[in-house]
Amino acid sequence: MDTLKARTIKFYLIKSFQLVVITIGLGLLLFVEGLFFGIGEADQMIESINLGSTGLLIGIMLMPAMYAIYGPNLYDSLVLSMGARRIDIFWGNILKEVTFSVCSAIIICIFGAVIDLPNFTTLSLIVPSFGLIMSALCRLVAIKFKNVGKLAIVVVALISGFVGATVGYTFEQNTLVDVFSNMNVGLFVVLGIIGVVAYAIVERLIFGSIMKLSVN
Amino acid sequence: MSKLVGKSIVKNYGKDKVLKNIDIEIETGKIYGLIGRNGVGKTTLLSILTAQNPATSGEVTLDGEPVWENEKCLDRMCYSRELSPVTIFGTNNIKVKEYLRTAKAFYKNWDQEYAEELIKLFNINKKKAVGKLSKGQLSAITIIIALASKAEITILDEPVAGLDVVAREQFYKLIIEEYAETGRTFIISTHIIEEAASLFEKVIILEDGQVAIEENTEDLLARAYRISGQDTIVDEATKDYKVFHPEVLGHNKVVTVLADEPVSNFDCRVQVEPVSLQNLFFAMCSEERKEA
Repeated sequence: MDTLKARTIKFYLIKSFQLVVITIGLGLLLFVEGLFFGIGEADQMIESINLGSTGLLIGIMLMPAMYAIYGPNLYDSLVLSMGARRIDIFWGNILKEVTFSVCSAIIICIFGAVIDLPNFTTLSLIVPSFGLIMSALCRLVAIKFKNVGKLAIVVVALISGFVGATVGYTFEQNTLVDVFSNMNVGLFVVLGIIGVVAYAIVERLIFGSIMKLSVN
Repeated sequence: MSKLVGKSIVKNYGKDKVLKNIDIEIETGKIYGLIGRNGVGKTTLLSILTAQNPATSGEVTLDGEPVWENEKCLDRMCYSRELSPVTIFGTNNIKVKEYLRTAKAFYKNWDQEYAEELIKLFNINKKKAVGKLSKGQLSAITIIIALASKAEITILDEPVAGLDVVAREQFYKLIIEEYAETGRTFIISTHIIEEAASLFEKVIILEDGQVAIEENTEDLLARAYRISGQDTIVDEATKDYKVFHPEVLGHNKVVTVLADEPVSNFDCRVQVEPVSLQNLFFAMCSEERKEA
């Protein structure tokens, strides 16, 4: 099946897997850094795992958002200039983000199972969903502010900084993990539905703009 | 023969009207030259013809089918744009090999072997980031993508900008070879008219956001003349024609004339010379003109 749609989808899928690899790399890098700086300390391994897993989770939340902020100006513009259709770019981006989220959920589950952290199963749903909504929001900002790109960077930097600080703090305090771990199934489902609806609303807003997308 | 047709194309950027009701018809199997001054709307027109930018109003069709979001039409076209060494985020760090890999993925008839051949010919280092390339190397990438795409309608925007004379000659040779071999349609926008004029079977001249001329190059030049002589005689001899760029030196006058059809009986007291495409374009763009 060598259609233009298939070629566009393949392009975004490859980008998605590249992001997954980069995110895992980020987690591993922090893990190794933790090992290196914790030499001689009693809880060296635990600290390294904590550092690596925090890096992994933050990467999962923010990596697709970072891509989303420069994607419309760089990659979407590039493939549009090579004949891709706007509608395929739109669906390609969704597929990229959803694929990244699914892969992330699997990675978190595997990671949680290997190092025996039960909370990670809960996080495998929450963190990628958060990353998914963040990336859609960032893409919306990037498209809306396409012509004033630097402003978009500032907006996203502020959001990311705030999110990063909040996540870092709550992980440190273990409050976020505790909240999610003790959440009942009903509330969990409601949150999931709200997430899907929020994502769909943002994508609807993106759709209108992407159909007018121009090559830079 | 297929036709790429633009009807009543208007493009506004805010209050700035760049294209003003343009009608254009591109027949396949020909090499077109698109000429116009800076900012006249050449790039905008080309990007609208290939659906890379939306028009404010108007329609573009290929064989009667709208080009906009139409896979069948888009698959037949390649508009290889000038690469930018910078993005709004800073230096363009995409590597040449990534550009080429993306082009390979998107152009249906991509010829990898030919692309490799061209990379060697233009001496391009694929591992380099686009932002680190020279102006000439950026142009070479544009040419490589356009030629290796093997698209039926291939559009090049300022392909020779920054290329040295050797590379420019290589480019013209490649276009002629490719055209002779495949009969592909090329639309080439350029400011180096003198060099490229012999390539163009048809020429489109944009002026003030409108198509001033769309004609077979030979036919156009056959009705363009440079008339010189004594000013009163020149005025008398050219009074029925559209006259561009009059130059007066004492009692002598030189004008460029664009007649409606070839003229064989100019006043014998004036000197009549043929005009090159570049000189005709220059004369047309000069401020002074007299309508017939």
